[in-house]
Amino acid sequence: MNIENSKAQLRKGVLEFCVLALLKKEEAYPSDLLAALKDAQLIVVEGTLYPLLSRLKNGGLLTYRWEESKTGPPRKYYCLTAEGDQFYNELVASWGELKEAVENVLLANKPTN
Amino acid sequence: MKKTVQVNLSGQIFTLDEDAFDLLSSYLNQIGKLYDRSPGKDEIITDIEMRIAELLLEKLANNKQVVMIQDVEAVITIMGKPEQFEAEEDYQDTSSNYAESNHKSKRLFRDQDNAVVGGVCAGVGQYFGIEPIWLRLFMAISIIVFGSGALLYIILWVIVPAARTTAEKLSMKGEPVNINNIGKTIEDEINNLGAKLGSNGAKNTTRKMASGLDRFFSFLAELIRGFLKVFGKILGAVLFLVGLFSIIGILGAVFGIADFFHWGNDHWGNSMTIYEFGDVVFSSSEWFAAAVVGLVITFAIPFIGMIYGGIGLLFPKVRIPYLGVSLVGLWFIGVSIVVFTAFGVGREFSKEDTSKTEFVLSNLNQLQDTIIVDLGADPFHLSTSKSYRINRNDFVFKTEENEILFGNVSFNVEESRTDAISLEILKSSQGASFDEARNRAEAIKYETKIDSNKITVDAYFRFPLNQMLRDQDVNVTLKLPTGSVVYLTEGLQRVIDDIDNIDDIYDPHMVNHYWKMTSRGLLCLDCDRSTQKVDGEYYEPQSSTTIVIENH
Repeated sequence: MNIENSKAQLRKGVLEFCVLALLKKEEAYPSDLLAALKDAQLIVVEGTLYPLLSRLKNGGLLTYRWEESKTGPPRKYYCLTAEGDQFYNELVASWGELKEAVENVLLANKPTN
Repeated sequence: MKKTVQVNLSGQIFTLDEDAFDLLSSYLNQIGKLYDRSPGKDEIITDIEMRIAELLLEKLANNKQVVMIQDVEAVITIMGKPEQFEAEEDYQDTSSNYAESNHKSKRLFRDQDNAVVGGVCAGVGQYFGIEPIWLRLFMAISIIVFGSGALLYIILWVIVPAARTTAEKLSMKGEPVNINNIGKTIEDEINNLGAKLGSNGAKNTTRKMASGLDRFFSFLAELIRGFLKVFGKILGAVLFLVGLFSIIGILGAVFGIADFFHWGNDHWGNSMTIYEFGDVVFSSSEWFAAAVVGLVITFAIPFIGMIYGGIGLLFPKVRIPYLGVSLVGLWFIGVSIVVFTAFGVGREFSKEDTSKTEFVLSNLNQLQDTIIVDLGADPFHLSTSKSYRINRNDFVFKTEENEILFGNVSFNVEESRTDAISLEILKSSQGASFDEARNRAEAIKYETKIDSNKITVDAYFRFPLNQMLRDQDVNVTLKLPTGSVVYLTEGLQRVIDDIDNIDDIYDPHMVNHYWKMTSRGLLCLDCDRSTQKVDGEYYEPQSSTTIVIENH
């Protein structure tokens, strides 16, 4: 078993949720998202974000608009669709349950640690 | 000094060092392969290119103009290597695709970076994992001892390409061609370059000479390739035409335009179309159809292959997928059909039976009369001797009387077990059963004329067309008691079949001579034994003008 692989699996599960969360707050272009995700140590390599965005967009959860940039290529600003918004709300509820469940499991380990 | 390449990334123009460009384009290629089967591939790649452009612009912020390999490496570290993508993104179906591009395959190249002369030993060493020093030692010894090593070396120098690009260098070493390795190799090269520049002058001179020779040999290779190309085109044209005409010939035979069989000569040649032949061989039209289909497939496929091969040589870009495999498969089917029908038809040839008639020439005194054996008149009343050139087994097909005329007659002389001179006629045929075979044998019409001491045997027999060809033959045997004398006229050449004689004279030379039956076998009474030996033991066809026909 590769620990890095397991960590990646854990991150992968919540990455989607976090991207939706960031976009729920305000629309953003990928570099903004990357900065935030890197700060939170949720993403290791940037390349993985793009397939994820593409998948969410194709799933109808995200949409984007183009915006000119003074310093570089034009930017894609992403935001949630109505469907994405609802999707996010369900994930929030589910996350609450999951967090509690995991906490409880870990709590049971506490005394022996 | 370095070459640079200009690229457009998301509408931004970047100037990259050549090695940086190699690394970047290889990176983008690999990413592309990774998402080859994802629905949003193009978009993902565009987005990633956009981000790379952004990152590179940051690198070029402080008045730097050219993107260097370190910058590309830094960008790749940020974006992540394809392997890392895989760990994060669980694309099951693409992982195999990626692994494919990663597979190790070693190829033989000349290693010019570690070359002493042309890099042949270094390259072969890389290929087989041998230290090149041993190969060089072996080469040096073989040049000194046999001299042949030099030729081998030059041939390898000409035919083995040098590893020039980074990818080629990697496959020379058997390392997978991927981002890690390309980056590493380029770095190593940069490091090596400094070391090489500092190396002594003597090595530089040999390297210069070697690179001159290298140019010469690659010119030679080019030249050979050019010749092969021209030769290939000519060969292609020949294959194409031969194949085409053969196919036309086969089609002609199938549609009854051309003769399937043709024999004889200008004077009395005869021929059959495939359908006429089928009528007399196959008992049912189904068998015949199967045989025709099988034969056409079996014969036509190799020629179609020739045409295809010819086209391939003429126009290398024309490739029809799976055609080769389908042709081979179809050919085996054709052969199977032929074998199957051959067994089916062969069954009708499986039994053989005969019908025997014997005439006793009772009115002759076997000791006083000389028997003369002659060949009967030609059924076509030919006045030319050319007919004698036709082999014994030739047959003639005659539709007007619905009869087949078959020239499968053999004549033999044996010692009689009684005191009487007799002529035995044995007709035989084959069939699916003995009854059928015997009926066919009895249906053979064969004429012999006995006129006092003169016997005339025909070279042909007849049978009705509906009897079909079932290897019918007629054996005529003249049985002579000891002491009898026979004269064989020239015409008999055509039907004589291995007549035993104590003079050991070959069949065609037995004609025009008197033979006496002795207790040991036939003895020639008037052969000039000295010239007979000089003539040689085998028959040479005589020119048509010298043959005299003894038709009576």
